Amino acid sequence: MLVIRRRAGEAVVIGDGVEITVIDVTGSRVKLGIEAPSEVTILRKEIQVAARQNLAAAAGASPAIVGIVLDTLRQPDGNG
Amino acid sequence: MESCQTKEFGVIDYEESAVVHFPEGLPAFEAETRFLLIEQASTAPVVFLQSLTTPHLMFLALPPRAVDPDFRLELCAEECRVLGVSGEPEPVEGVDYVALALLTVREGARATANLLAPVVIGSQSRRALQVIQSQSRYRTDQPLPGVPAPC
Repeated sequence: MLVIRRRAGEAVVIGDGVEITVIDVTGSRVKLGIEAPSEVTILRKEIQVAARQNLAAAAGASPAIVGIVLDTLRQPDGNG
Repeated sequence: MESCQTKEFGVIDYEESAVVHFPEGLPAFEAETRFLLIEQASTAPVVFLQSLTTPHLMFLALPPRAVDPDFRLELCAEECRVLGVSGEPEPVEGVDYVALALLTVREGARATANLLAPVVIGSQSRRALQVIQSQSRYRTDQPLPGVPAPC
């Protein structure tokens, strides 16, 4: 991972069209400004993680697997 | 009484009061704002969240405490506002809101529950959102525990 130190008001540029500016630093929080082409998706990481998990959850959901889930809940730990 | 096509239960009838509204949808399903919570005694504690707009979209879920009895959820003021619950005193799970962890079952793998980002439903408002906890020891793919073996 590339690590760069920046102060409020300073920026980094990624590739041709993405610029990230540190707008403000307050305690443990950093406010970022991001300029990017419209085709670039910008997501908070935790939203992306949740989105991927939701897609996986929806893909596998059926009453047929409820039995598997209930069996897992009822199994002794370590034998599942 | 209205009816909807479901993924697995055919056409079922429901009261409008039973609809769960997700004003912001869910991550990856932002356009899905209306779900039906289907509970069956035979599958408890597992419940079904059926989309009312997309028949083939359904989630399996269960209360986070079924996975971890010590599960605790902190709701921020904005989340309380969306859910229609009072932030002060601290809202109580099971009274002011219902929490549900979405289940993922992958072939050949142990089922997991999303304890990092549970779905939370306001008991009065029937409004819901997926609360993504920023400070949490939980994962989106928390393995389901088994009941401890008797000693």
